[in-house]
Amino acid sequence: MRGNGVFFRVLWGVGMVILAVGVRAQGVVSPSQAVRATTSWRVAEVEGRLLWVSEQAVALRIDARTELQVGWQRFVVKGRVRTNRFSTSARWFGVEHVLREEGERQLVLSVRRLEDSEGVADVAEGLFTWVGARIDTTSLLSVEHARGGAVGRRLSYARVHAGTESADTIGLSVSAGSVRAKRWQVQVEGGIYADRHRGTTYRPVLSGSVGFDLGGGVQARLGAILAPRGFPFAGTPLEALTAFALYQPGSLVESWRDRPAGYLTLQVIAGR
Amino acid sequence: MTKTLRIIASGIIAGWLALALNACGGGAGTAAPPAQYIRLTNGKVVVQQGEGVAIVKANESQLPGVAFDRDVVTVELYRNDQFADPRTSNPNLSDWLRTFRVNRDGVLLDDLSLGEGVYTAVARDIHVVQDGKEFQCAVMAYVFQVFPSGGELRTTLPLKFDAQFPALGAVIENAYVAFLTDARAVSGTSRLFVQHANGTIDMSRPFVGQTEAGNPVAAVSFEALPGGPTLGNVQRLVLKAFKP
Repeated sequence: MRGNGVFFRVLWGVGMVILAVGVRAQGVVSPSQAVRATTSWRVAEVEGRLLWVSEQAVALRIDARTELQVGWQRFVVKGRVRTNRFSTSARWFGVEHVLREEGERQLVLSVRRLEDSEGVADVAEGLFTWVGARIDTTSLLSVEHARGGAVGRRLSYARVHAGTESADTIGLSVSAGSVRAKRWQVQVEGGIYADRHRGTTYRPVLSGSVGFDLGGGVQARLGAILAPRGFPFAGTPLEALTAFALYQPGSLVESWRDRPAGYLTLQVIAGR
Repeated sequence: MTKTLRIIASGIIAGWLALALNACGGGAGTAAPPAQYIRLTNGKVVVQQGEGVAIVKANESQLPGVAFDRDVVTVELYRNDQFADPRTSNPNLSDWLRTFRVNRDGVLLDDLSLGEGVYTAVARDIHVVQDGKEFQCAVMAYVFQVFPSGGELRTTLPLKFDAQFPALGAVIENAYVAFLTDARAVSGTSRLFVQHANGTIDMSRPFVGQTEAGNPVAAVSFEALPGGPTLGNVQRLVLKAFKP
């Protein structure tokens, strides 16, 4: 276990270095690709708690302006002892539509629904389950391409339902990406999210990624995301987990929301 | 197109403003629900020995953890454990034995003659109102054993029952269920299963030996985790008690 801890701290350190030079996966894939498949693996360790997330997603471009997306996620949060873990899975559907395109500027509307399965806490005291959350997100993204790079601004609103609880999350983020060489790309993103649930909390989220073109329409991306004040209910790839914090269920899930946290991501993207 | 964009952007910005104004006002937002509990202290079993049966006496014995908003309630009695998987199982009509009546406090109005075996008592539509706080449960089941010991038939029905249920909409923390039963159940197992609108709770505990008013008894206690979801409508509450 101690060996694992050192390993993940080293990984975390590497991630922070990457973050310092910039990261995040957006606008990486050529819009000419009709189908895109992505597999993502996320890992983090916070105070002895280990998080594993796997996600598979498929995007289908149905015309020059519209893309349909579907994805599946699996979360496991392992506690410090064997009988202490939280797990859930989720599926999501989304549609992105380019509302306006003027030269190098684009305005994209995105609508997405995520449906969690039941969250299961297997702890020494017993087995506890929580009805899964549902997150509906609408966002507007403006992208401006210039000098071999792109700047994006995203305004999003998410409504989160979990059992009899509900919350709102509004996010405003800015991203910048640049192509430094033919085969690799760097992106950074910074955002602020406002969570409203029995009070309003503002949470900054910083992220970045480095992408490598492996050839044959395949890309690999290594990224990191950091939330100095914890992750918001919605708006990040962890939302299927953090939405359970609506239940105020104790340390297993709350740690990811109320304390500084981050994780590393490895993505493989194939498109044709 | 421009109009549509303006409407979408205005909606999102309006949300931002609402949150910002809320934060300026101290960020209090909606207050957390106060801890509210329903306290139930009941459950009692008085058994008389019959010819190969234990007779649970009417007017003296009381079902645990129930209260009704009706004067007379019919409770179903089944053979065997009808909630082997408390999440999915439902009582099987082929195991139906009889019904018996209880009053609004769960006190038996009919004698119950029970031979050796495992039984499931099922009460429906439990509704408790206490100081304006409310607890509701669609199905409450108690699975118990009748077993021979020392030439007599004994039961794992509760001698004393004490519970603090969260009221509807209250956080589940600080809730508990505790009860005492026959001392021969020590080292046996008790299981509490609750299914409500926000999730499920499934806990198993061994009975431990204890002395109550100078008499040895078997005791068990279930405590909720600190922090937790609020209690939604309870669809099912199953309590099981088995000797070793």
